[in-house]
Amino acid sequence: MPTLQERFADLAVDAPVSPVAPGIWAEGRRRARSRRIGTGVVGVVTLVALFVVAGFAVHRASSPGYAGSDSTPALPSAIYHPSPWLSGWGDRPPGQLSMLIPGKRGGWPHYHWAMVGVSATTGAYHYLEIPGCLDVDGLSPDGRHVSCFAGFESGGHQVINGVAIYDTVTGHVDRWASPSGTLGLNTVTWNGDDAVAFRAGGTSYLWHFGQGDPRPIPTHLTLRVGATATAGLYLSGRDGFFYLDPAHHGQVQRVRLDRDARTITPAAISPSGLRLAAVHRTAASSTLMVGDVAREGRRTRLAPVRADVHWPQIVGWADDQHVLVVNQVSQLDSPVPEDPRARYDLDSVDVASGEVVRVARMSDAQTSWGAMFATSLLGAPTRDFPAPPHPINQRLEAGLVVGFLLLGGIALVVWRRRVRA
Amino acid sequence: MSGPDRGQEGFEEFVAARRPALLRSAYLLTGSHHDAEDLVQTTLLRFVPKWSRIAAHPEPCVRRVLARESVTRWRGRRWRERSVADLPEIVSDERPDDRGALLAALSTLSPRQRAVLVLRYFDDCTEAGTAEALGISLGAVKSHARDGLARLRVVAPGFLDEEPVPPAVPLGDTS
Repeated sequence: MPTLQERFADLAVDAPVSPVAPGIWAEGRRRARSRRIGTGVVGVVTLVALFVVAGFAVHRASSPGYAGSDSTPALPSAIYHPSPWLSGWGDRPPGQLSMLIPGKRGGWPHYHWAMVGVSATTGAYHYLEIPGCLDVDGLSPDGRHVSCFAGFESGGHQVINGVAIYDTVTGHVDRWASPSGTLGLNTVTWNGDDAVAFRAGGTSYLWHFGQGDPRPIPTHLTLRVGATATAGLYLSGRDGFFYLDPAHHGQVQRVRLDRDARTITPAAISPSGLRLAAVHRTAASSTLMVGDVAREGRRTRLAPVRADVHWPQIVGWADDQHVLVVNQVSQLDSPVPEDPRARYDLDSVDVASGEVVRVARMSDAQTSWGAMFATSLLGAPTRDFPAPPHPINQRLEAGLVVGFLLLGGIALVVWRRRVRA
Repeated sequence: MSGPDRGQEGFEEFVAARRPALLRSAYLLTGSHHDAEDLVQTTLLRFVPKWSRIAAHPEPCVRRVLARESVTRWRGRRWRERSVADLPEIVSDERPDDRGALLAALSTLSPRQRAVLVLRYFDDCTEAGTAEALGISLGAVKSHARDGLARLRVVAPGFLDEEPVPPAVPLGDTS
């Protein structure tokens, strides 16, 4: 019986016996040329597409930058919603800040809440990246320091156990961990430009962070409900506020009201300490109220300000005559809280005449109501800074790059197979 | 007008000398005159731009590409041609000869099994040479050879009563 080798040899006798096609060398050269040209075209098109994506991304991520010569700190005349894909300040200290704006920062797996620091001298927007800081809490009155909650992550949860102070000029961070391991989050307030007050465990502290550890104080700090120009206002019983006056070594100053203090927050006391502004809020309305601060046990009487502001949120006093509020400019005849179609302004309200003057244009509710200001800049003129950049979504950018590379690769394979066939 | 350069001359000499042998291998790999000629033509065309690099020993390279191309082409055609589990019945009154039966049996193999058998038992390649030619592992060569032979015994009983004697000649020594 024939072997498989012999059967194969026998079958191969049937193989075609055709003459060599003429011009096979020339045809081979032509196909090789076509492959090279096609490969080049696909490569160039892919590269151009990648350059377009990169150029678009760079264009969206770039900002003209402030080119003015005035370097005195100022609030911006327009406050923008920060892009989730803004870069962070990184290791660079941002310098004095005019305000902090909350934003949902984009990451590869998911978005997370973060705080954008706005430079007081250039108007630049970048996310704050403070080592050991779990959540930003506030900005010092002069905008030089940022207070935040310090702690650690455990099992996917954040454990807050202290306070950290970030110097925006030097980048230095002072940290203090509470011996009790707890912190009253709603008790942390600025006290002047160089101290914070807070309660940890059952003890209240005043921390001059440039001078060592926090110092326990006899005053029991309650709930933060507002601010003076330089200190936090705490609720005092049902009918008043108190604050630690930084001008008098933290001496307690009390303000008694002629009404239930819990219904008129947030509140703000003017830089001179003579005037109090508060918002009386009900389910149906929100009214700006002002009164002269009464001392020596007398009660402060508050009266509504007849100003055209809707759902005002007090930012602070520019001087004893003007209070700054975030004003909801609704398109509706009857403004409702958090109207999704509303825009917002930072307005200066003359508490005597009720005249409203726009100080800065703001954006959405999240940006406007969540913003924190360097209160020392509230009385200064605002400045026109360039709008921050709006970088494109990094996932979209990566997807486009991968997509174009894939398309280029597929086109290359298809073309080379087509020429080869 | 200048005449053909030395590369072209060498290529055309190789084609004239080796094309019949390549066609025989290609015919066993494809089972069709047209496909065999197309496979050889495509393979040769691919070597035109790189002829100067392989001109000294072209045969192993050409046979390697021929074998791989036969497998690759089948993949490209797979979606166009539907394979069936059983061979269709031969309706001709004529009794199929051995060549026809072997061709039909070969067509039931996977392209890789077929290529392994052709390389091993027609081109007389070693297992290592076959693995190198097809770009697969030695174990895969053994496995494809074993499965291919088993399949042939099933679909063409009587063809392989004895175990084929594997050759041990390196790739490229086929005359």
